[in-house]
Amino acid sequence: MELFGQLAYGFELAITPQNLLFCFLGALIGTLVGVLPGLGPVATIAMLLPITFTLPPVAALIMLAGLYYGAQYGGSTTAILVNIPGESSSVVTCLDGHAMARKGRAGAALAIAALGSFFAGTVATFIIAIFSAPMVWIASTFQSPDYFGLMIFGLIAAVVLAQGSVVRSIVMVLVGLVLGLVGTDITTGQSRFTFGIPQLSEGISFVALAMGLFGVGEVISNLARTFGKPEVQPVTSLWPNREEARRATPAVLRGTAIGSLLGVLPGGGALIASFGAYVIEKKWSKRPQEFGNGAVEGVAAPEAANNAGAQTSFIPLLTLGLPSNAVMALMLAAMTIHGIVPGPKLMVERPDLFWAMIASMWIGNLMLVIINLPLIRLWVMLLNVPYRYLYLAILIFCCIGAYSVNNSTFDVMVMALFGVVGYLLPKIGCEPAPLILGVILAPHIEENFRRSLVVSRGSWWIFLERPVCAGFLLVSLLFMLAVLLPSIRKGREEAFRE
Amino acid sequence: MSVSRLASLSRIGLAVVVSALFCGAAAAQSWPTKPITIVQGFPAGSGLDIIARIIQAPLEKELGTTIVFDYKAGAGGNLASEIVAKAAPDGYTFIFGTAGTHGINASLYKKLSFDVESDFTPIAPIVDVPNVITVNPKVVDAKDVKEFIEIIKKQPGKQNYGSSGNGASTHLGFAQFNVAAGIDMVHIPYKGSPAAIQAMLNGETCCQFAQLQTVLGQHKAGTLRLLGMSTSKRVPLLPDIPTIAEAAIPGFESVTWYGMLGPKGLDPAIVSKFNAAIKAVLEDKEVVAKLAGIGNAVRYETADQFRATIKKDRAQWAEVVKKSGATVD
Repeated sequence: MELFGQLAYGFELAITPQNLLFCFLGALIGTLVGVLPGLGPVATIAMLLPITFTLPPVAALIMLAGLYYGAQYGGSTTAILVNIPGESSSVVTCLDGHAMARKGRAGAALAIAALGSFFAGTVATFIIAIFSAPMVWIASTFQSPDYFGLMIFGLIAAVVLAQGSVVRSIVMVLVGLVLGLVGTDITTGQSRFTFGIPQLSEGISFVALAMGLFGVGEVISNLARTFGKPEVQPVTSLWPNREEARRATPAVLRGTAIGSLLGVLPGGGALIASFGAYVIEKKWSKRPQEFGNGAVEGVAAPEAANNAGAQTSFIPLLTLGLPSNAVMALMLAAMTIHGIVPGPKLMVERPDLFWAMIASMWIGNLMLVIINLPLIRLWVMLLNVPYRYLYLAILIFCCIGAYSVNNSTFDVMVMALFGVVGYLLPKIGCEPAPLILGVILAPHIEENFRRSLVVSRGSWWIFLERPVCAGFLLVSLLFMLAVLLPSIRKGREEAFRE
Repeated sequence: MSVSRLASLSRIGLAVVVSALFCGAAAAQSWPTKPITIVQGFPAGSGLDIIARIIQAPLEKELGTTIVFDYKAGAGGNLASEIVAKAAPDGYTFIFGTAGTHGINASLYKKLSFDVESDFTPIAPIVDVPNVITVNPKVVDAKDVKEFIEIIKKQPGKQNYGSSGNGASTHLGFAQFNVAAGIDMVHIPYKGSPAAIQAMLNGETCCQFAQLQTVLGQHKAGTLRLLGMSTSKRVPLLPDIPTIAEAAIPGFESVTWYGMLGPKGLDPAIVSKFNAAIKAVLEDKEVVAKLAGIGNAVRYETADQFRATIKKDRAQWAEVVKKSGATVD
């Protein structure tokens, strides 16, 4: 088969000592970048870019790619151990990953995250190799109304993310939507909710907000609660037990599928993929009450999804020449500076680059598992470091991370503010997760909604005329009924009782 | 305080002033003695950043110091402009500006806390970035600019054109073209050029002004068609593609430049030294070839010529902005 020939060709190129070395370097730096809260792949790749100019383009791109998916591996470590997203795409891993760590299952959670990521990475590698063409078709037929439908579906699903009251989570989603709308309106150029602060003109920095809510908020509440160690039970075993493995497997499969699909869409990638996977997992689970309290599926699915999404987000870049997120924009810059023109012809003109990168992804994933599994023992020891030392390091890295996204001290203040919010929210019985999803989705929903209406010259039928959009809206409606009906019935039952 | 004490104090004061002046002159002589920060108003990996990275190493060699890029993205580049406008003119903070940040923005934004001319010291332009009329042949099957105008004229208000953002040169340049060609289309802004090109590929928009380097890959694959360049001369990389001026609208030109500026009050000695270094880099064959390879033309001017360019362009863009009705808070 031609495919195997091409893959073999890619592997041949990827296992030259030089390419192996740069693949390993990328994976290793990526792991570090992932583990350190805030310090993200965008800032790191931007810093490393000049170094890559002197390398052959294939080696350079292999290294930068390794850095991106390596960060997906590392990010879960911090999320699980100290409840702080090492990477924005591991925000959702905090929910159940850290709960598992508190129950003494930190080792198991780390192992599941690493193995799940490896499986997802392997599948995503083959998806890129086999399905690039049809995946591009999806991305290039999706018009504004279809994105709107998809995002509405995501928003409805956000309500499902909530563990407690539906009303409170709806409120949180709405607050998130408002926060997500801060900034310059793309259609009219008007400023909204910026209070004349120019730093808010592009919106609130997502990294600052997420690290504030989860990271700084967690530090404050730990200090308030014990002023010492957070309550962590002793680690029982470093490996997942049979029951955990049995529950993780299907979740990894679903996470991989969702991550691979969402990664291809513009604006997608690891972040939306991990949230999507978590929501679906919770909805499908027979034990939704366990989510948030250390459900294995809540670690396995999003971790598989973010790695799959990170890798499939290369598809639009490699096949259309269109970057779907900030990391891909930097990859595009690296290619352009090396004199490579990314576009539909890349696969034909530079098959060496295309296939070597794909093959290196699998090799990189293998390396990451080998790097990460032995480290689990070491990471778990981190839980024994007295919290009064640990929290200082955490806060410093959070500040570096928040600063380095836009080189902005303002963003550090934003993080501090949301740190207080993140501390107070659980006190009033609200959760930050639906809020964060609202923040992610708000700009997409609004932008695509209004753009659709401009395209249709004001006709609302456009949302029903396009089958993809209509389909998503219908499913959203069913979801909403499924959530609302039981509570309505309960309400009526109570009414009858009186 | 005795008179003699006062006199000696004032003498010390004079000595301080004199030595400060002298040091200032000496500082300009030996400039640069430490790394230079160049602020960019757009994120790492942007089209501007690609050019910046291409000239970085040769410029470092020319100046004998390290160049650090500081990305302060936001408000169409105004965040970065504000920082540099208020920076000390010590020769270590500059901005890699564009016809957008130092031309369009002056009239597009309702209020700016700085003036794009009086708060800056122009050093030198670096490249001209051509815009090109790009169409999706599946939506509007035009072979050249004339045919394109004819097709659109038959269906006023029907077709959409995209842009990389409200008030971007891709938006205003095409608005200018619409006025010049007497056609009526609907503008749809996207967030950045990848999203805009994607929309053109899936047919949500028919066409747009695109910066040449962003559509080279699609052009090669034949998925999008390039009809006319916005420059006054053809682009050497694609000599077969005529300019809009020669194809349909004589005299039409809409060019955006990228160039180096410092804060106001910069020592003229530093300005001329930096300008000379940029001149040397732009004469480097390898740099020219790299820039031309992605469709950009080197543009060199003296600092005074560059100041005049900014003044002229600002007035021209103000006209275009006014006609288009675009505005940003």
